[in-house]
Amino acid sequence: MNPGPDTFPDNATVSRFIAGDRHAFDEIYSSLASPVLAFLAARSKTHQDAEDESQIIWNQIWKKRESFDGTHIKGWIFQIARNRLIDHARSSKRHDRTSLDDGHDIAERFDPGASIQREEELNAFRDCVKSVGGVFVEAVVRTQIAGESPEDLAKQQGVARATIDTRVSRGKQQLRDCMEQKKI
Amino acid sequence: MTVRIITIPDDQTQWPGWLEQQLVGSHLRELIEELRIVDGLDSSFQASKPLSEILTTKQLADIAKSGIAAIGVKKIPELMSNPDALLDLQEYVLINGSSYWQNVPVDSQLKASMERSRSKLNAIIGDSQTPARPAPIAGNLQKTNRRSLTWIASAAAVLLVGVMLWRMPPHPSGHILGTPGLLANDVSSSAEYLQRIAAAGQTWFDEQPTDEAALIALLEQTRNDCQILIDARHEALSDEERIWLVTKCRKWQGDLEQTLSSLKSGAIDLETARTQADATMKKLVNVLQSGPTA
Repeated sequence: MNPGPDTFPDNATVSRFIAGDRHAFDEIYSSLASPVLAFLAARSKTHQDAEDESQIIWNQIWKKRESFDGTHIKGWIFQIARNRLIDHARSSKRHDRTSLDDGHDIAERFDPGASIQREEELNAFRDCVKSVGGVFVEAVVRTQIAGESPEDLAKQQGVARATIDTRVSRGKQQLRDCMEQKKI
Repeated sequence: MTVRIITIPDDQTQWPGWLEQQLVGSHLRELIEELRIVDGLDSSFQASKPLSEILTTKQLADIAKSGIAAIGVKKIPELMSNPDALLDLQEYVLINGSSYWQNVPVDSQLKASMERSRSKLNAIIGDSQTPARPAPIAGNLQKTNRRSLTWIASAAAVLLVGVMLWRMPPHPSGHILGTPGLLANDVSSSAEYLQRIAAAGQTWFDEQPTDEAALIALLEQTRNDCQILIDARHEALSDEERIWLVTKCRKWQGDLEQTLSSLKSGAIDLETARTQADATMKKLVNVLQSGPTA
């Protein structure tokens, strides 16, 4: 049986949390800190930023508990996290106001740009994609990301299925080796 | 540096589990950045499609309940070819995922980060493991007072529950979208419930703020009303309908927030802000009138 999305934290734990019970807060943290951190990591420049924001957000959650109406605690917590990210992006004034297709401000999705170290990593990755290039990267992208079957790709390119498997394997290995050489 | 896309398993049957770990782990951003770089190497990459065009409400509900495998392996490439949709999918499963998602293994970096945050948090707000305890009461005095202490504790608990019930109305009141009774489960169908919220949304157009301060106040109230809709139980709706409504409300709330902040910062004038907000509210009313099946 699947107990559904909101079985934990249960109502009793949430009520104790609102009343200021630190053990209840700890239980909620143990259950939801990991998803909140994953959410932040995907939208922050660095993992350290995500960790720092996480502390601020959980501190806010504790302080704002009395204003919480007790319904859908996950939604409430993620709203606090989302608002914090937006405030952070605005206050740092690092973002431009590029709008995405759906009309959301980009600050709601990402702390834009990357850290200097990450920029270097991504440049290295771009170089490696170019240098490995050709049939190897194409085989990786078409079969592992675009979801084409190796059989179909083999037919299109007039090669044996085993050749495609080899190209995928070599493409991945060469990308790995290339990144190793760059020691990023 | 670990290149995320070369960790994609060769065996397609392992793709759902792999993608689930990316969604709940600490490296989704890296994966998306890499997917954007290889974007264009293959014709299946298109201008980014929103998640709602890739997965139906039913498919999203299935994912929330039972994981990515519920939609089949063939849908995964479409998600990977629209990297931005992965962010929306992540948010969806983190908020709406069942206990299934709590059991998806997370990477060690995330676990370590979580524990570091816990320690620092304890330093800020106090450690629950070392609560302030009353000094031990010795001998007969302890026995004598135990009954009265129990009575006082019980009375305090009853009082606390009473205060909490008083402070927690079933449906908090708002201005336009959270008016008393609006979200009560006293309707004969979910369509009627949504129509009632749509009718409340229509009252936005009765409001005629004459200056910037009044429009800012109205926008703030309506944005807060959206939060009431997001947090509400919506007992008149099915799980799928509730998820649909909450997803829409978040979008409208974001749009109103954008208008509000642009107006406050002076990036747009009163008239433009009113036009933008009217467009958002018109969309809200139309979408609610049409319902999730439209």
